[in-house]
Order: sequence, then structure tokens, then C-alpha cells
Amino acid sequence: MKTNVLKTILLASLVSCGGGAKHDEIQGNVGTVVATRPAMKATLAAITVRGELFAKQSDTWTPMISGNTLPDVREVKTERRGAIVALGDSADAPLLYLRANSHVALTQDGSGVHVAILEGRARLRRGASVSSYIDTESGEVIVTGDVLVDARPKGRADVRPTGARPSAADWSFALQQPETGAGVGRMEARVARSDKMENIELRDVMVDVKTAGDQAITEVTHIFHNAIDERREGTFRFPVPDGALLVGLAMEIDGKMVEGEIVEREKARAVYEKIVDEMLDPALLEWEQGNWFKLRVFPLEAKADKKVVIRYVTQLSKQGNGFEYDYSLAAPEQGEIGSFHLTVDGKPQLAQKNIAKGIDLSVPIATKIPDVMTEKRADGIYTAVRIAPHLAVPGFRTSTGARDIAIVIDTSRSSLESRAQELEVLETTVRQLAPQDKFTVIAADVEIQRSWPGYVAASEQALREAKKMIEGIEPDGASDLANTFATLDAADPSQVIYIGDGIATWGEQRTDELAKLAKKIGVPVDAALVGKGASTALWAELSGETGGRSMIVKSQLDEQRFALAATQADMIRLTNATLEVPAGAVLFPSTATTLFEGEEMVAVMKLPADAPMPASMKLTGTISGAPYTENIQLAAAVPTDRVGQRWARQMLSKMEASNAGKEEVVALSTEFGVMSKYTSLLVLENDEAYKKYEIDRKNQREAEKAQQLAQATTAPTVTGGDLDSLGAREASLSPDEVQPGDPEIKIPAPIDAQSVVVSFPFGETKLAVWDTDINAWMVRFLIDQQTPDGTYYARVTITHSDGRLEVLQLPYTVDTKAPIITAKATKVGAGYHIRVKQTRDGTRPKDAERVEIVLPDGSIMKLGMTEWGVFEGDWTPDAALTGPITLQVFARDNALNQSTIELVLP
Amino acid sequence: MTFVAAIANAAIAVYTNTTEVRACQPLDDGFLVGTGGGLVWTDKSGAPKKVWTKLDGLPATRVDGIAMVDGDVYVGTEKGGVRVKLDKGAVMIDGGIGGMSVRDVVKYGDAIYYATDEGVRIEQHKGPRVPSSKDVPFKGGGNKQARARVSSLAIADGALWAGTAGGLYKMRNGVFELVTIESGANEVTSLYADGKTLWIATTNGLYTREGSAVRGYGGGNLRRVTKVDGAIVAAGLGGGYVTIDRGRLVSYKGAAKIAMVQALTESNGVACTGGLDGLALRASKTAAWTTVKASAGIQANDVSALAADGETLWVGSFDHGLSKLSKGVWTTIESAQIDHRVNAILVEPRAGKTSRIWVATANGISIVEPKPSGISVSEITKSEGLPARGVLSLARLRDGRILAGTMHGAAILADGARPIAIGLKQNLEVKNVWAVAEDSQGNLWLGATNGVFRGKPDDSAWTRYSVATKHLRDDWVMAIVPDGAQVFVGTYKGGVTRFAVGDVVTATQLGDGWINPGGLRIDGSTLYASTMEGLRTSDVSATTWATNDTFTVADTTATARVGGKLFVASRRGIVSPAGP
Repeated sequence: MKTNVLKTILLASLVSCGGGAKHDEIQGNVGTVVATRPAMKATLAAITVRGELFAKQSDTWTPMISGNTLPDVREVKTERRGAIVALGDSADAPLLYLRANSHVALTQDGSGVHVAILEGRARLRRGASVSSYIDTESGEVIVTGDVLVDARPKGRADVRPTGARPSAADWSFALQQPETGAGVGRMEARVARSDKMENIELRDVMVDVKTAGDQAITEVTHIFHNAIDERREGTFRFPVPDGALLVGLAMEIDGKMVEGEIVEREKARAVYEKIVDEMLDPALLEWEQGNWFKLRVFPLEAKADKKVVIRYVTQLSKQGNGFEYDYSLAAPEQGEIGSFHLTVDGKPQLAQKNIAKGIDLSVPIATKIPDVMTEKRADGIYTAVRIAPHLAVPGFRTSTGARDIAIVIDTSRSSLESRAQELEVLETTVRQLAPQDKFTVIAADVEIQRSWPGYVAASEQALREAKKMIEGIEPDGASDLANTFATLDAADPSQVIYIGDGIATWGEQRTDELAKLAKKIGVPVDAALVGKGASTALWAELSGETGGRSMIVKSQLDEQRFALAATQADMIRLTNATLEVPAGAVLFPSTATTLFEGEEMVAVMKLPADAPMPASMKLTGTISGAPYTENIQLAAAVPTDRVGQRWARQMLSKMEASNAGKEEVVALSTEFGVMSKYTSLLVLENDEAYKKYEIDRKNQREAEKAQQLAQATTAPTVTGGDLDSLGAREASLSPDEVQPGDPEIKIPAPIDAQSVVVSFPFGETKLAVWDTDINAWMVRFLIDQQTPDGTYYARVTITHSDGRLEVLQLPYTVDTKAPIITAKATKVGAGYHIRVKQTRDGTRPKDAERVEIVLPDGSIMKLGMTEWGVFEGDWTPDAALTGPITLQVFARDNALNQSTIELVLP
Repeated sequence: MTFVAAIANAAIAVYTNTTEVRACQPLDDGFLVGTGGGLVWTDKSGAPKKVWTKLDGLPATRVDGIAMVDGDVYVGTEKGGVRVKLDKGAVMIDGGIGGMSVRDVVKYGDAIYYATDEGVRIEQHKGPRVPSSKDVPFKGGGNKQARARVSSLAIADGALWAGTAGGLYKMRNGVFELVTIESGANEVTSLYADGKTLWIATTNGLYTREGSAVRGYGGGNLRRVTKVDGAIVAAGLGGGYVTIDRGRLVSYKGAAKIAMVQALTESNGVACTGGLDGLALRASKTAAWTTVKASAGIQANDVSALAADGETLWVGSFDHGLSKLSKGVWTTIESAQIDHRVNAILVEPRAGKTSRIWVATANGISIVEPKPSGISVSEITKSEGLPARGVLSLARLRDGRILAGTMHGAAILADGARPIAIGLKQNLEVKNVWAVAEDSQGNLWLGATNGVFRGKPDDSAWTRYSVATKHLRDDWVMAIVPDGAQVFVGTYKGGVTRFAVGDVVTATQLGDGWINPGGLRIDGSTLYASTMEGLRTSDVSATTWATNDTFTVADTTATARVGGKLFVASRRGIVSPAGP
């Protein structure tokens, strides 16, 4: 359906610009068309090749590297990583971006070059030298701008404008940028008795991904090896993916993983320096630049390994109708990585040794992503709602003529440091304009200067002139946005693009008044907000109310996304999209926004702990000038991790934008474990050190709680958490498949390991066996009836194919004690509310999993678990009860231990 | 090396697997080998002469350690250690301690010290009377549970040292005190004293301690350190054998081909070593190591299921696959279509044809069909419609179909038809179905962790019997066996309940006990119950039962009768009394 809409749009564009013939009459199988049409005459030029690129002429596949050209190419494919190729050897040839492991057919006829996607994903950007088309099963689509194409079964393809959801094209933007070591961190240390720095050997990298709703929590475990016979201080740098939320850091100290805690930045630094002086084990993680975080690690012991774990949260990438997890590993700059493993939701996806080249991975997520996700915390209920309104407009047509685009550049004093980036955004944006589009550049501070009267075509010459004008203006004065809007109104543009920090410092500064002036222009206003003080506080409202988009632009990736979103999203859009705030809720987005057809908005809200979940949410806005209202019915909320953090991140952005007090920001940041500009992550050696410096061990508690929860939900009698204390890799019990008494351990060691041996504390040693169905090494073991309660450790020894030994530990708990419970009945109307609570027994987690009541008629009522260790239910007798009534209450824990008590009804 | 030991009185045949070597000791006329299946006395070539198990008087069948103390042989088992004398093919037991796993024994001063999994026990002989014994206290180390697991003892530089799972301890003034080795090297697996130097094998490598100086050599997960031909040699799990050359750890040249080493001993040039993958011997200092070839036999001691098919006994093991004993010959069933984790076996007799053997495993059901040319094996897995990967129980229905209990409900299986799942459709809240049966009225019984459910496939509501309904003493049902109008239900720790099936179902609790999965069997009028405490029997009409006192085998898992002989499986092999 989306393809059809898109096709309509693109064909409408085709008609409007008058270029080429209409090709939608071509029907039939893509393969047939490709086979009968001649190979591409235009020379294929390899612009960027990250992995392996092959081009097929006749029947021969030829490998290509960056800079190569080949004529008469029929097919092209990529392996391992992506590539950019030009469909022609001129500077203005169409550009084809190919994702890793993609395969396309290239043909050419009198109308232009045709691209049919056979496998994988591609992005095609039009070029002036030759017309370009996407072949699909149902015909072909002329590309007048920039489109993303996904292969679909049976020759079908999903084609959509890149600008409608630029984040889906992030992989292609990454191909345009220099490699910056994505995916893993690197550690440097000083060469002995020298000022030179050298890379520390990275022996193992384990990437463990767990999905939580539409988010992914990625844990990257690095094992570095200090090869010299000298203790050193290391500097670890890690590139957090664009848009990721850094939530955790852990470091191995004395064989135990110690969680980092979020601490106010200055305090963290002071504590770190003091501890380094005392020769203890601290680590301090701070933001360095761009997406890079820097961690100072001390000590790197002589000839020893050091394990560092980084944890971050990203959004799953929405592709077509599904979601996927994307991971990119750049060619390691520090030399080969000894071994690399990636698992997603426990399933191994990649295991390789001696990694010297980069890898791009896309892992489809098979589980259904819930529409409503919720997390209950002590201070409230946090809920994320995915909203994808149906924005059909009968007879909708995109703009049919050339657009006149006014680009405003902030030249006020605040642009002093961001001038270079402003010009980069200008350049990237102008280069994305369609050939028929025209533009003008307006320099705005308290005064206005215009590049030229009227609008001119988007040529390189015009771009140079515009940049020259901006460079000639000394950044000075304040920013008078009201005056700017008045000028824009008079300029009669069809679209406005603002590039600046987004802050009004002169004249009218009230958001609502500025919004009125912006709306008066009557066209979409998009904003790229750049610079240190860049804020969306004002522009989210201005853009949202006008049908544009505003984005904070920090990186080149952001620049690409913005330029595409601002210039290549000519689709149905919901302007001034606003969600009605449920009573008592703190909701994000808190301002109006713009939603494009097919786009999804995720609303995140905090509700009071006792507030009911609203049954629906009201979305209002304007489509093509007509009012729009939709009541979105909320599906049952699915408990999901880290929704609270998601909300806190939005809240922190809002607070930072509104210059909220540092103390408030630090408090929220530490409460939710979300880094802010005022906080750092600090790892200290032990509990005593944290106590000494009065640092709350919140993350450690959370980690332990998560482990307890995992234990409580796993197998009875034997419960086990993930192996993490010594283990480079996760070994785990398989509670879903095994009952008490004979659990199994799953060890995701590589298939080519020589052996995997598991030693148990009670004297048994077993050889694990590779299980082809589970893709892991498995071993079954027995627990003797006489084994006392307690936590035990199984030791896993992996002998790798190269003879290297790896030793891991797996804790498990033997529990034979029945749960201790209390029960209370409260009369409610004609019935009773019954509440059964498990009492904590020493340090054991509350692990009751089932509570049943035997009613007077002998029937059994099961109570529902309302929180860990608490079970509740309501019972109304069919007839009035006489005399004292005693009910039997049965409770069972995860280990299938049972207890019984009596409950006398009041 | 696997063999059958028929012990001296020939009243009971014992079948154990002795592949896993846990300790060994060269003797003048052969070797003494401690295995998971008993104590084995071999000749010089490694050929077994005798196997002794618990039924011969050892505290337990699994041997955890062998030590020579002043010329005496001490054998540590998983339930105690004893001093033994070998005399003309018989083993004479003389003193020792019971109740706990004994891994090492040394003499220090006038006392014998036992390294056990409950600390160090001292046995003092004061005069000719029965020795007194007591535990040596420990001091230091946070994990009391770990430090109690003592793997080895050694006397270095005049002091007694104890290697434990919680670190290294040195005895001072009658108390073992924690001595630091190095961070990460907390689990000591073996000690060897060489004058003033103490060699320490740990799960994190090899160390020495001399005075207060500690040196680490690396080497991974080591299990044994000793001297061979005057040089220190260590070995462990996966890393093979290593020695020290000019202060560095290097591979030990000419080592035996054992990868998972747990035992290594040398005496006057004669040496033995072994581990998970068997036994290797060296006749003299100049001879090469030879690996002792394993012979056919029971493939593992953890027997999980038995089934009788005429003169053939089918044996399923916990994690070593399927085998059979037919006319005194053991055959291991090698097939990629049979998972090595066997949970249950069912023999399906067929008129005019050989029986089919249904094997429930952790990865589906394998159907073994004996043929003149061998066997054919077919599989039914989740791909073929089973509700879950793992299958826990099997029963044959009166109409010939097979009922299977899986890890997500049950299924009825018939040739040429897709499995009929029982669970969701019947509104059953069951996950793991540990036991299945059909009663005389055609009702199916499914034993789960929340009680037993009774009903017919087409019923939308089944009846649940549980602790809450006062029918069971424990909700975790492990075994069900029908007998006419009765159904016996065995639970994990609540013994056996007899259900009388009529218009009204009533339940009578028989004796207590911990019933193992599939552990009930009716044999004539006798109910056999395989429990964690051993085999129990009862007349089917009786209300109590008795422990079978013909022989005592702990943790009995299954029984079967083949050719008139009773076979009793346990976690430590199979025994079969000579009589009925």
C-alpha cells in the first residue's frame, strides 16, 4: 500500500517535471524485464567500498575496490559491508548505496538506468547525468529525488522517499563518512619509559543484545591484555552509536564485575584523582567528543587481562513492517580482535576469530513489538506508546512545481563557534534539492542580509556564492527571529529551512507569539539546530505547528538525516500533531510535532503510581489544512524494561534546554541511571570505597536486583543467573526446558572449540556436547538430594580451537525451603479481597510463583501476582456465609516448594 | 575401559561404567584405578581383574581419591574413605570414615587426615581401640561452603597444607588458616610438596609457594600436580600435560593422550593417568604411554530409563545415549537421530513383527526399529508437530497409540498422523508433563508440577488432583502407573498415592519417599518404586511398603524384568540379583 502511494507521488513528480516517458505500463516479472533489457551502458564507478563489492559483466563477477570503474555491468552485489557506486562516471551520476549483502540488477534502455533490487537493501539518489528507475514486480518507479528500496519476496520491492524516515537510511549515511571505529572500544596506554602511546591488545569482544520492546540494550564486553611486564594506566575510548543512550559501565576488579555509578562530574573527577594517587582501581567514564566516551582505567596490571563492559540503549530500526537490530563494526584500528561474538536475545548471530575487517549486521527481530510498553517504578508508572496514525488523504497530490526554499542562517554572536557546521548543513541541504527547486539564503541576526533577490536554481555556483556571503559576515549581534519571520513572509517561499542555535535573543521571544508569526508564513519550517547552546525548546513548537521538523544536529550523520528530511519528504503529513495529555501525566513529546505518512511516533509518559492507564489517547492536528482527530485505543500494556529511562532522557533534554538547575539534573540523572552533561560514570574498587566517598551504589543494586529477578523467574530448585563474574561469555542454565533435579547448562562457546568441560562443586565433571538445534554447548547435571541450600558455582572450561583456555563460572542456587507467607482477607461489599504476601527469608529473593485458595465449596481460586511476593484476588461467595470460615492457602515457589497456611475470614 | 563385575558371592550382577578415571595408583602387580563406576584393579596392561563397588563394602561406588600412606592404600569415595588391603583378589576394608566425599589422605604426626567435602577430618589412633575422629577447624575466607570442599592435603616445609575450593590453608596450632595465593586463584585442586616448596594446582593455573614467596606459572584449569621422573608435571581439563622448563610452563613431551585429566601418579617409573576420557599407563620410565582401550558395556552410570523387550534390556542414560544388553552382550546404539539425553523408553510390541522402541529425549522422540541388518531410527520432533522439544514420558494407550508427555503439554502419536496436542485446547495449565498413563476407563492421566490431571482428549475441562484438593502430598508428579481400577501416582517428595478409579475417585496415601521420574512399575502384584533412597516394593493392594533389603542401591531410577531377572538402575549403574 505504501509503495502504491509512493509511486503515485513519484509519478506525479515525473509528470510535473516533464522528464522522460511514463513507464508504469511495464508489467510482469522483474526477472524477465531484467533479462531482456541490455546491461547498463553507463560505466559503474565504485565510490566507497567497505566490504567486498562484485560487479557482473556477462557471466563473470569482478571484484571492485574504491576508485574502480567497469562498463557493461549487469549486476552488482556486496558482501560483509556496504558500498556506494555511481551509475555513470560523471560527477552528477545517480548514486546507488548498497547495504551489506545486497544484490541488484542494472540495466539501461533509452529512458535511463534501471535498478532492480534482488536481495537486501539499497538507496538510490537521482543524478542529472541520466534518469534512474527502480524496477519492481508491479512496474517501475522513476526516481526524482532520493529513495530507499527493500527487496521483498517474489521480486516485489518496498520503495519510499528517504526523507520520510531518514533514520532508516543511517547505514547509507555511514558509508559517506570516514570510519571512526564503530562497534568496539579501544584502549591505549603509554609505552614503557616513553611518552608514546600504544594500543592495548583487544583479545575478545562479546556483544550481547537484549531487546526490550522497540529498544535494544547492547552490552559490549571487551577483554584487553596488557602484554608488557609493567602496570600502566589505560585510556579506553568507546564510540556510542548515534542516538544511543549510555546506561552502564562495569569493570572487572579482583575477578568480580563492579558496576559504575553515575556521579556528579566534578566529584567523580576528584574521587578518581584521589584514588589513582592511592594506587587503587578506579575507572572514570566521561563524554569526550561527538559520540565518543573516554574511560580512564587504572591499573592495567602487568601481563594481565582487563575486562570492561559498556552498556547502551538504542532504538530498534524499523524496516518495512518489522524491526531489526543493526550493528556495525568498523575495521579495528588497534589491530586484530582475537575473537568476536554477537548474540541477540540469547541467540548467537556471529562468532569469528581474528577480526581484522569491519562487519555490518542486521538481525531481524522475530518477536512482536508491543504497541504499549510500561515499567512500574516506585515513583510512578512509565509508559511508551507507539502511535502510527492512518494519514490517508483522498486525491492527495504532492507539490507539482518547483519549490522556492528560503534558507535562514543564524549569524548572531552565538554562531561564532558553530559557523563551520552551519555551512556544512547548508551545503548538504542544497545538494539534496531537486533540479527544479530554487533557493535563497538569508543571513539573520538583528539585521537581515539576503544572498540575492528572488530564488535561483540549486547549482554549485549559487552554493559557493551563498557560502561566501555568510563567511563574510562576522558573527555578532543578537538573534531577532520575529524580524526574520517578517522577512520570510515577504519573501513568499514554499518552504523555510532554518540553520542556527534556535534561540531568540532580541525582540519577540515568547514561543506562542513566534509560533503565530511562523504559521503566518504558511509553509513548513524545518530547523537544523546547531552549536553548543542548540535548543529545541522553541523550534519543536514552531516546526510542529507549521508541518516542518526540527532536529538537533551534532554529527555529519545528523546533517544527512536533516537534509533528507527537509528536502525529500514530499508526502502526506500531519501538521501540529499534538497528543492530549492524560490526567496527571507528564508526556513527551510535550510540543506539537509533524508526522509523515507511514511514520511512527512514540509517546512516553509518566503517570502517578496509583493512576489507571488511560484506555485511549487523542491525537489532533491538521492534514492539508483540514483538522484531524484520532482516538488511539491503547492495547494492553506489556511490562518492558527501561521505559523509565526513556522518559528520563526526554525529561533531561527538556531540563537541559530550559537551563534547569544542575542539582535537579544530577538528581534525575542519578535516579534513572541516565548520563547528562553534569554527570560521569565512576567505577571504584569495592563497597568500602563507594561508602568512603558517599556514592550511592544504585547501579550495583539494580544489577543485583535484575539478577535476583532472573533467578526468581528461572527454574525451580536450581536457579541461575548469567555467568558474568569471571566469564567473558555468557553461560546460562536453561530454565525454560528443564525442571528441578536435572537442569541443563547452555554455553555459547564457539562450535569449533576443542572441548567444553563443566566441573561441579560436588565432585562431578562433565563434557558438554554441541547441540545443533540450540547452537550452543549443552550439559545436563544432577543435584544430589542431600545438597544443602545455597549458591554454588559450576566452572566451565572452554578449550578453543587454537588451544587457548577460557574459564567461566556459573552460579546456581539450591532451594528446598518452602515460601513463608502471610494472608489477609478484607471485606469488600459482599465479598472479600484476599492478599497473600511472601515474607523474606534471610537473603533469599521472594520467589513464590503460585498461590491458590481452596474455597468452602472445594473449588480452587488462583490469586494473581501483583508484585514480586504479593498475590491478590477477590472472592464473592454465592450465598451468605455462616459461622467462622477458614480457607486453606497454598503457596508454591519457583523450586516447587510448597507451604500451606489457614486464613480465617473476618 | 568398561567392564562387568560379578562380585564374589555372585548373588548380584553389577554393571557400571568405569571410563571416567578420578584417581589411580601403580601397584606391584598392576594398577588400582578409582572410577565413577567403582574401584578397579587391573593387571600391568590395564586389563581389569576386579571391580569393587558399594555392594562389596566400599562406602560408595564412585571413587574420588586414592592415596598411599605408609604403604597402605586409602580409597576415598563419594560417601567416605577407607583403608583397603588387596588380598588374593579380595578387598579387605580396614578402618576409615564414612558419610562424606573423601578426596585425599595424609599422615601428619601420628594422625591420619582426610580431605573431604565437609572439611578436614582427623583420625587419631590412641592405643588399640577404635580411633577417635574430629574435624579440624578453619579460619579465614568468606565462603565457608567453598573452603569446606577440601581437594588435597600436603606436608611442605614441616607444615600441613589444605587445598580447598575456597583457597589455600595452612595448619597452625591445630587450625587451618587462609593463606593468600593470588587474586583469582581461589580454587585449589591439587597440592604437591617438594621439600620446602609447595606446588599448588588451581583452576586458574599452577603456583608455587616457598616461605612467603608465591609464583604463578599459568596453565588454566588444572586438576593434578605431582612429580613424574623427578620433574613437576601438572595436568587438567583441556590443556593436557605441562611441566616446568627453566622457570616457564611448557608442554610435557611424550605425555599420554588424555585431554581431560583428573588423575596422575608415578611410582618408581611406573605411572598412570586418566580422566574423563579414560585411562593411560606407562610400564616404566623408558616405556611409552599406552591408552587402555575401552571395552563394550554400559555407556554411563547415570541410568535414566530401562525397558524390557523379550530377552533384551534397553538402557537409556541421563546424558550418554541408548544401549542394550542382550544375551550378556552390550551394544551401544549409535545414531545421530537419538539425542544423548534420554528421559524415558517404551517398548511397543507388534504382532508378527519385532517390537519398536520409543525413546523420549531432550530433543524429541526417536523410534528404534530392530531389523535383521541392524536398526533403523526415525524421529518425531517439534518440527513434526510435537508441542515441545523435550519429551519426558511415554505410555502406550489401549488403542495402540502412544501418549507422550512433553515440556509443553502432552501429545498423542500414531503412525502417519500428525501429533494431537493436549494442553491448551483442553484448558490445561500444564507445562512439563513428567508422567502419562491411561486408566481402565480410558481417561488419560498427565502428571505435571502442579498436580495430576485426568480427562479425555475431547474434554474441554479436566479434573485436577493436587495438594490443595487433598489428593496428593506433593504437586510435582514424577510417575504414574495404572493397575486395573487403580492408578498409582508417585511424586517428587510426597511418596506414592493410590487412586481408586470409579464413579468417585478416591486417593490413599502409601509410604513416603522421593520418587524418580518414571520410577513406578507394576510387576505381577508388586509395585516397584524407584526412589532417591533406593528401591521400595509393595503389594498393589497394601497400604504400606518396604525398602527392598535384598540389596541397597541409592537413587534408584528404574526397574525392568528381563528373562525372569530383575534389573535395578540407579545413578551409579545397574544391578541385578541372581534370584527373582
